[in-house]
Amino acid sequence: MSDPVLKPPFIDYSFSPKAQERAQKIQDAGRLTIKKHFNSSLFDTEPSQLSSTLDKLASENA
Amino acid sequence: MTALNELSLDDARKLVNNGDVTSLELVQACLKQIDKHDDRLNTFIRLESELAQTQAEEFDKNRKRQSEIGLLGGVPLAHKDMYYRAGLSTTCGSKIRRDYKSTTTSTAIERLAKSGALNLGGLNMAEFAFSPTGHNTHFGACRNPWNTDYVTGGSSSGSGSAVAARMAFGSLGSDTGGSIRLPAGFCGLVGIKPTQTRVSRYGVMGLSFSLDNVGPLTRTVKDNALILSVIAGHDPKDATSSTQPVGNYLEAVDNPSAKGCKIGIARGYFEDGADNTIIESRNAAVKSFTEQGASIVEIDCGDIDHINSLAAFIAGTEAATLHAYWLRHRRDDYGPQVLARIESGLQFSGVDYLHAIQLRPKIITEFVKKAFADCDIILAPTFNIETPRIDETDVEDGQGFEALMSTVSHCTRPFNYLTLPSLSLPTPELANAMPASIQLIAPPFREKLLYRVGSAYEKHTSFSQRAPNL
Repeated sequence: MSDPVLKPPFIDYSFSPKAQERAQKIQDAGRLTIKKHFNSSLFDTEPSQLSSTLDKLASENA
Repeated sequence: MTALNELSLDDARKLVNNGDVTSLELVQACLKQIDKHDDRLNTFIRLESELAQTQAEEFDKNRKRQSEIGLLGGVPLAHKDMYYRAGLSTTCGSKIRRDYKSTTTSTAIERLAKSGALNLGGLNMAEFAFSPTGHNTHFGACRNPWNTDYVTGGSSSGSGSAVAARMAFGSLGSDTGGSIRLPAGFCGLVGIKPTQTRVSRYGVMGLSFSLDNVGPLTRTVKDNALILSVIAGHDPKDATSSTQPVGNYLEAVDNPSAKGCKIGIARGYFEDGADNTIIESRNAAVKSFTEQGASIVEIDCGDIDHINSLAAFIAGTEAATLHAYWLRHRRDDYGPQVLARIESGLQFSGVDYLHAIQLRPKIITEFVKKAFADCDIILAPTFNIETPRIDETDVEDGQGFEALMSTVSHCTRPFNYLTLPSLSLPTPELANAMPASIQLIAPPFREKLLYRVGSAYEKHTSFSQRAPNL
């Protein structure tokens, strides 16, 4: 089977094979993690969730 | 008699405050040290000796007319060359920005200037802050004052080298995966990556805006607390900066104590592949805490690898986005390793990136609840390998470079995704006489606790008395 050819991000640009290989490894590991944590509660994500989470943890651990 | 440049920042500022020493004398002592050692250490990208001396003279003149001076009044610092100052150069360690002059001034630099601190110039760093070792294709590798054959750690390589070599009293670095804590650790210094959002990033070169942090490298815990006290706090120019009140860090270092503190030893991931000497050095730190009345527990930090995999999506995508224009138009002006790392990020999907962002609050909450269930502070090595040599890690984009990067930042990078404050502190030297280091990690915004316990550890071990033999 031939290697998949990725679409270039810009016109006239081609990825180096090393970058492609590296990206593939990161993508595979990351997607497995995402799959592990996936659930329907993520639908209710709010834009300020990171700061509100940190504030909540700060008060709980003060 | 101790040379002025060998004083701690705290002692230096007190002498200036009392009128025993002038700011110009401090600046000139640092310049003399730089003149003596910079050729060998390759620490400065740009030395601004005339500007620093002019500012010191100005400070001394005004000093005579003021009863109160700022917290860092008259003390010369030097920073990683990625902090913008309007009208002045900032290279970001790169060929691409070699001649760049900013039109803005970073909030951190502005706050330091308001506190009376002076600036000696721009320090060497990894190109665009993209390497944990301290190599730089364009400006040459920065060298470790403890032994110039060894890496300083990166990406704030010049910050580690300059402060350890007594060329400056403290330095701002930046930390996206360990870039403050690693050079602090490899150079025998104190470094803090504060809680994400604790310090404004306005006017600071971005690498990955979700993971970037601003923080100081210093020779003592108190020096560190002094600088963080000045730069921490909400900044209207950085909408992501937190409105949480800033703790009284100086009160913490003036009342050091580890007694009754529950310290969790992180096993598993943080010991995987660790050199025995690193574990021995960490154990010496644990013994010190036990002797001070801290209780030691073993804790389970869970699956850390999955955190790293999500951080890689974020760092890769954000860096590639920032660099997209230059990747297309100035690709040949990047060093090979930096190019390979940045380019990978162009290939991740928007959905993968946003999932990594979206999962972050959930993963942080789970981690904090689990890891801090039985302890106040986590203790882990800052790095789990002996300090690498410069020649053996000069691999550019050759075989195995990704593994090398991952190994060096193995212990530090999880805490960037997790946002947690992490204070790195020296531990007993290794058999090769190079410094080793631990990091203390706390829940969000508990920097004050880290300083109180870190300061107690410093007093018990006297590590801040040790200096490289230049």
